[in-house]
Amino acid sequence: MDTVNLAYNKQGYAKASTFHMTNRCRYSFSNVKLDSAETWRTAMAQDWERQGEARVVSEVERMFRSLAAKWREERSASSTMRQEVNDTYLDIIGLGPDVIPYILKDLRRTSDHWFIALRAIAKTDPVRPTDRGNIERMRDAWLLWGEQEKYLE
Amino acid sequence: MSLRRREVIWPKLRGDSFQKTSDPTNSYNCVAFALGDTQNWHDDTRYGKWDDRAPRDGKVESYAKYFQLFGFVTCEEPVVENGFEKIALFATADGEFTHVAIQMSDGTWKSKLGSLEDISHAELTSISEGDYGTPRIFMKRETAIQLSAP
Repeated sequence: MDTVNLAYNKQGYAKASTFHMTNRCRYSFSNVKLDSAETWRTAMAQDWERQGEARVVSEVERMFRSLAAKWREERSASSTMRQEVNDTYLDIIGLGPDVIPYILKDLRRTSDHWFIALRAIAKTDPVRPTDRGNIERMRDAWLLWGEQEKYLE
Repeated sequence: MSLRRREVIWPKLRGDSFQKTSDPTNSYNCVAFALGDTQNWHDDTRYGKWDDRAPRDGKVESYAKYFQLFGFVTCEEPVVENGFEKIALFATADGEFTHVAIQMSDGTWKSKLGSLEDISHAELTSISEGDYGTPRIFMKRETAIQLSAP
């Protein structure tokens, strides 16, 4: 396994660093401005997480991770899920059924609001009407569906 | 969220103008917070807790209608009034609901910021003029009225 080599300069930029594990995958991290301690810690944590993943990262997963990070930054102030469905969220839906496993794994980890995307892609809805609004119950319903449909191990 | 992003969304929310009063969570939103419910996310989408007696069009008037179902009535000014709790509904220039803040008994305000944390802020305007727009509708209800599921 190759390793990630990151170098942060004094201005807080993470210099370009790429590693290749196979010809089919590539991770790149270049010139990200780290403008606060919070952002710095988040970036460092993500880098360590990446280093620990000795596996092939598919193009769909790479795109999902990138779009999901962008979406979280954009939507964090939104008071309604209607406002959260922005262009980036629609781009994630546009990745199609191949992205479902990655969305479900993210949902399991973060309980984030992927319900609209999952319904749009999967064209089904395992959430009981009485559970709408309860994030944990809606998450659990989708994760159970994901296991039943073999999207999750 | 980066500091730069915060400054775009809430250009007036800086320094000692606010205090965080909770950890971030995406389990409930400002609407739920205003109704005293920290177990659900209330909005007018398919996956929000909602009551179909209020329209599902994202408009601030429709959210006011939703709050009416919990005993709130519209009022003129956000001045402290004994025996009442008051809320301020924010909207964009074209009337889209963006946020609701709660008035405390001392005249200060509390807000749940999206999927971030709860904060207390001295001025209602501390969170205005950015993405949240401006306070558009003020409402009040007697403090004895309890939350009831729609």
